[in-house]
Amino acid sequence: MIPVRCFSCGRVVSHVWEEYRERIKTEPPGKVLDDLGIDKYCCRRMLLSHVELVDTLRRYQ
Amino acid sequence: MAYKCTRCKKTVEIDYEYSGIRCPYCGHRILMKERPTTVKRMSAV
Amino acid sequence: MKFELIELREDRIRFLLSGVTAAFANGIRRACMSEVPILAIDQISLYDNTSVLFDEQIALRLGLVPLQSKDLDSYSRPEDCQCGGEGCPGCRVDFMLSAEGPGMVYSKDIQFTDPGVKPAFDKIPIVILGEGEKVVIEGFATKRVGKDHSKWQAGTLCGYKNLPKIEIGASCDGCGKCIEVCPRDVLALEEGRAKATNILECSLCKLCIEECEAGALKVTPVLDSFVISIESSGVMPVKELVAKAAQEIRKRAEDLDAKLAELT
Repeated sequence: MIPVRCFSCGRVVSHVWEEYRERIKTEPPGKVLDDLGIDKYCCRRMLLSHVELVDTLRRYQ
Repeated sequence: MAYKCTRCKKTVEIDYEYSGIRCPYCGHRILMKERPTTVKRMSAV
Repeated sequence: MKFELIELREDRIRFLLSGVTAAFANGIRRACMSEVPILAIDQISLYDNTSVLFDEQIALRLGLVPLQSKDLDSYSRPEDCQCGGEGCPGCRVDFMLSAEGPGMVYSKDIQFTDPGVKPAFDKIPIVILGEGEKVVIEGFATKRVGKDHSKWQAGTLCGYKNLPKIEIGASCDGCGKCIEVCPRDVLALEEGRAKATNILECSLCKLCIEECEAGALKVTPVLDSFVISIESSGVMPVKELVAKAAQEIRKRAEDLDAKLAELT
């Protein structure tokens, strides 16, 4: 699951996660982040570097 | 204490006298501890 | 004290404050981050959780959801409350979250007993539930300050810097090297000389001074002017946040005043 807030600055980043995930399929991630208003590099890395593992792990529940 | 067998999904009572842990129905040796029914309180940090 | 607004958005403000000391600017910054009380989920009781996340992970995620309140002043902090910190409707907002899979549980699914309280963002994913999975959580939110835990922090990124002052001497020959090296495009060439056009962006890195062969540049901080930028976590408009931070400082000063008056 995407962390609710940015680890460094505490700004909420997770509310744009689903839109971000949909849009990066067709658009460059940097542009999408600019559009979504995630402009600091600490917050951007939260979304850019996140790997969603819940769906993979749930099969072994 | 009630456990759940991971193969046959039956609720199992463990007989501590018997050496080793084993499901009495299917012989499987991996058992899961069930979540207790009590309410769990914690602070949201 | 002189105030000049540079930028104002719903969640971010940048302003120039001149004629104050660094201590005062820092006071505003610190008050925004750690002295403005807001609501956040404090304690939870888990009745059921068969999701993939651990109880503790869900607890943390719930705690970090910022909560907006229509009437924040109607709640008191638990230690100041008339109930003595035991918990009463005056210092607590109860909530209930129950969901059954499949599907994502969002922050908007948290049901508060007070209709004036709601999460600042609707689409924060709390937990994803698979077929037949279930979470049933009850708990309450309290009003505290950022000092206690960062989930009660009303201002996220708050900072200030001295206003830079760039002086360009007569020996400038318009070589343009300083313009090239500046990472923030502060300088521009005008009439064959360098000119500071975007001075607020300058971070006083002094790369331009190193590059200038003629030694014409001088970059100094203006010691009594500050560019302050405050960002709100979304619980309240940033204008309100700065006003509340100032009120908190005033409250402290008045407290001290009253205590000193008692002495004589």
